[in-house]
Amino acid sequence: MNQQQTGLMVLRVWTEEGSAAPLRVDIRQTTDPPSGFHGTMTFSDIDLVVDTVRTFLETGASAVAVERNGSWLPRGS
Amino acid sequence: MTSIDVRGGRSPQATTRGSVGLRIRLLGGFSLSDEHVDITISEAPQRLLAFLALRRRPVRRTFAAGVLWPDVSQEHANSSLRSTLTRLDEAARSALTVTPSQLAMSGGIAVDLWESEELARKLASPHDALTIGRSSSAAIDALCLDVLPDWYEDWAIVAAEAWRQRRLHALETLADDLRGNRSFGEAASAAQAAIDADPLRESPRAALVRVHLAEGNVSDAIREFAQYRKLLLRELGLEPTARIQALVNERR
Repeated sequence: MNQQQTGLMVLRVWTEEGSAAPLRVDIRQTTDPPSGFHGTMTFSDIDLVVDTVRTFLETGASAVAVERNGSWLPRGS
Repeated sequence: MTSIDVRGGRSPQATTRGSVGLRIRLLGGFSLSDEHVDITISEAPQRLLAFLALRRRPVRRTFAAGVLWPDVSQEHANSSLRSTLTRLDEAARSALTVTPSQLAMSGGIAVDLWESEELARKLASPHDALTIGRSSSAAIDALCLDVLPDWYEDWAIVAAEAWRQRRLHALETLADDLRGNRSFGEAASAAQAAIDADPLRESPRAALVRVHLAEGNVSDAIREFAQYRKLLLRELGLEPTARIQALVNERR
């Protein structure tokens, strides 16, 4: 993203007690806020969350796809 | 059937002449209306009214200016606020109480979010009697919408997330209450509304499974659980918790 653009990433975190991996993180992101978020992606793995945040910060890509676990869902945006 | 009276959606100050009938909608998007007639206002006044409606209390003008115009100097932000206030049309102006140092909503303004928050508060309080006034369907509708979903300012997102948490909790509580009253159709609708907002969260799924089981629809309960399990496996590679599995297994 260039210096004139504002990127936006929102992380919603909660836990599902009793799950084998209790952490849940919803991520919404956009590099063009007036056009809205691209969808919501949910993770249960901290490393994948960190990868997604890092990629967003490094590239400012419009929709970062982390293929190993999860996909962007067009909901709640 | 649970019936719910939703009141308290007006600002607590005494109703003032000129503000009667003014209503601000924040759920699902912004609108200002007077006696049910929509009033068109430009973006800056919309943001100002929405900000004050979300704050629910007087704010210092410098604070409002800094939040609403975050990318400019405080002096420039103050100037933008003054300009916005000067250009307000009569209806929008009557919705505000403006002093040299503070801004607030005028008394008697109705805000849909305040009404829905009051509903959510009543649902969360077992000692707060729910009186006749609105149907459960209306209550579900009041809890289905997000705050300003297409607004991306920090203050709007924070408020939207706070309301989202409250409304999801209220929908689950409503589903449980309606199930207890054997209003199974509306209970299922309340649980489904919470699921639609957050498909991967387990508690609304469990609420819907409990509704189906209470109604004797074991097959629907099993199908709902299977759909949730499939989604969870596909999206996160995880199994549902033993808690929700036990709900279904004990009735198979």
